[in-house]
Amino acid sequence: MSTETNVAEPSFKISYATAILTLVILIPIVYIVATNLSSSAAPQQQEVTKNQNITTAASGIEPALKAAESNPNYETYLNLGLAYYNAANYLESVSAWEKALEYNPQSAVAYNNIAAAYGALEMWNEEIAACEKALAIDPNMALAKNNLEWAKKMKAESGK
Amino acid sequence: MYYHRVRLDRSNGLIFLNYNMPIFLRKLIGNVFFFPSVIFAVCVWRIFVPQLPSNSGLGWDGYRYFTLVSEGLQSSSLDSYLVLRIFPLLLIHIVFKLFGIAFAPASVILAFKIMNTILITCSVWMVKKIFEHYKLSLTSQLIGMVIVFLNYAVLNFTFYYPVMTDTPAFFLSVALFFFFIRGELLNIALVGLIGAFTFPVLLPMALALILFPNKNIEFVPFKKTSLFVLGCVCCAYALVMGWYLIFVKQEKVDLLYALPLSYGMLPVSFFSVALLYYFMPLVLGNKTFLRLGYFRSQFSANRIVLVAVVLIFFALVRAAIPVNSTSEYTSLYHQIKIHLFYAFQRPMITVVNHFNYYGSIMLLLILFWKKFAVFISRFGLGMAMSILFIFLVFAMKPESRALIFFFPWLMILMSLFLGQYKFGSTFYLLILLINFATAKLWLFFNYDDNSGNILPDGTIDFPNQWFFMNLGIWETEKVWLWLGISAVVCLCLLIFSLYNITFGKKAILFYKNYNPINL
Repeated sequence: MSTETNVAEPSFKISYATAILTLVILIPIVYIVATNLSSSAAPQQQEVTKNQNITTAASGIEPALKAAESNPNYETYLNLGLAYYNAANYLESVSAWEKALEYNPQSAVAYNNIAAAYGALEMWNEEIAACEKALAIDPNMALAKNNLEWAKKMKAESGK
Repeated sequence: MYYHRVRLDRSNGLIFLNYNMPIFLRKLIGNVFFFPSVIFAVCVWRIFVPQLPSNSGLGWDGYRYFTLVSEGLQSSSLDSYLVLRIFPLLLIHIVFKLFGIAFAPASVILAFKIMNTILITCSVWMVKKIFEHYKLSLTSQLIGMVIVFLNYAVLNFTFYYPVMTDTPAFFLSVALFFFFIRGELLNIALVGLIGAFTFPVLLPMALALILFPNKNIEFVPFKKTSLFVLGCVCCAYALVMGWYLIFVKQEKVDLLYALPLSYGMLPVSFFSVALLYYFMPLVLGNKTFLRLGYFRSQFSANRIVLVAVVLIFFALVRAAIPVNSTSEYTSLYHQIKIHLFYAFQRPMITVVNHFNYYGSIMLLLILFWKKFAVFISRFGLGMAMSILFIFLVFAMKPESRALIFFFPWLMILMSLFLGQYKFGSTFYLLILLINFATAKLWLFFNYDDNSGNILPDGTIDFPNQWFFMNLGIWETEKVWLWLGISAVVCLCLLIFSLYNITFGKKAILFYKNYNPINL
């Protein structure tokens, strides 16, 4: 083994790399703290109206189901979800709209509808997540914005 | 003018890097920006290569990561496993929020491709610095760069399936090694913390390096009987666990489209797994690790405090992130199962797939394992222990992608190891060709998400197999066979290139001029 020495002795020295790495760690930590603080803060005082008039009501479940089975596409599954929603079968409606999303992953309407169904089930975290997906696709969608505010307010009130 | 001895060039293995190479070319390759520029250019090219056309280009795991990027910490899909992958996703989430960018799949994919390009380029720079630190010759540096970067894992998968945490893990692994070489303990700790939320095994790796940071450890060989016992213990672990998983728990290949277990080939599979486990403990075969004096020389209260601080910090951050459910991935049984069970799919399937995914490194490990294990042990107990632990627990999974946090260490160490010797030009040329072939940059996949080309055993046929043949668990039996044959042929070629074979005479080892590097 060579007796020359080029061994870097272990040390606690601070370098530019230390500063960069610290910064890279601090940014998400600040974000985590901010997120935790904002989620525990009281909801805004403004009046929020839950607007879950998703679209026009569909007719019965059976025709919608037949239509989806014979011609499976985005539209037929969207209508099937509406039919389930109107029949207060919210979990089935979520499944149908998720199926609709397989045909059109960029549908803000489908995400907003899923949010509404979760809202009906008082699953606020899921409603918030679905609303945010809808807004990620269409940031101007008023229905989703409204539902998001509502869900946040209800989540804070219910403490769930 | 061509006879000036270049400071870094101790060997002249490659013909085109011989002393008659023009000086400008030497200066070009020796320049610190040369390798980063070349790899950066390749990465930029790969950005424009179409990615996996599944789930809008997000893929499968990528779809889950996309959800996390879009929703951040409030995502309902955040569970106890995904939280340990959240760091790079959160960074992109924050950048998108800061700049008001919509979380559309195309934007997220582009963000990942850009991040991956930056991280790979930074990794090249660090690897170059490591090579320069050990004064490797230009030839050895070039071959080292080929080994570390010219492979499917780094230059192909990264851009074909970009929304993953693999490239950040690769970068962090290189960074750990880089700071370890430079003896920068604080930076090792910080990288370990980032790693804990990117590819969680990086945290114990970092802690081991902090506790045992000294290099240039004296090598005192174990007795052969001790090594035999150690090997048998590891063998026994693998065989008992394999038997328990397959015959007691009656586990089945439950992943969609994965290659089912071949019960007919199980005896050979068991033998091949046992063979690999037998040789693993050689990395710990240094008697110095048993000496009290060694531990005394390593002991430092400051470093133990640093380790404690890192662990506390990790626990605090982890507790601050609420998760919605507990994932089975965080259970010990599940980890052992997914990492060992699939090694029995077919004989040597793990070796075949690591060769296919990472290139020549797998063959070089087989070729030089005995000497290479000694070389690793000289880097200290932290490095040797980490490597043995990962070998025992994680390395057998044929889905080579899962070892992206670990292979950079092996690749860099192998480059340093090879840099001590002078080989024939054929040997270097073979490494280059093998890595070029297995990187498959020349092969454009034609994945079709809607084609139902499923074979009777449940695996996916061509053309989709062009992609799945690179993901161990999902390759077909035929692909496993052909890849296995390719690996054996390449191994034979490498052996032939090392030996001067003459009829009627003893084979003479062709590598020479051993110049041990000072660790």
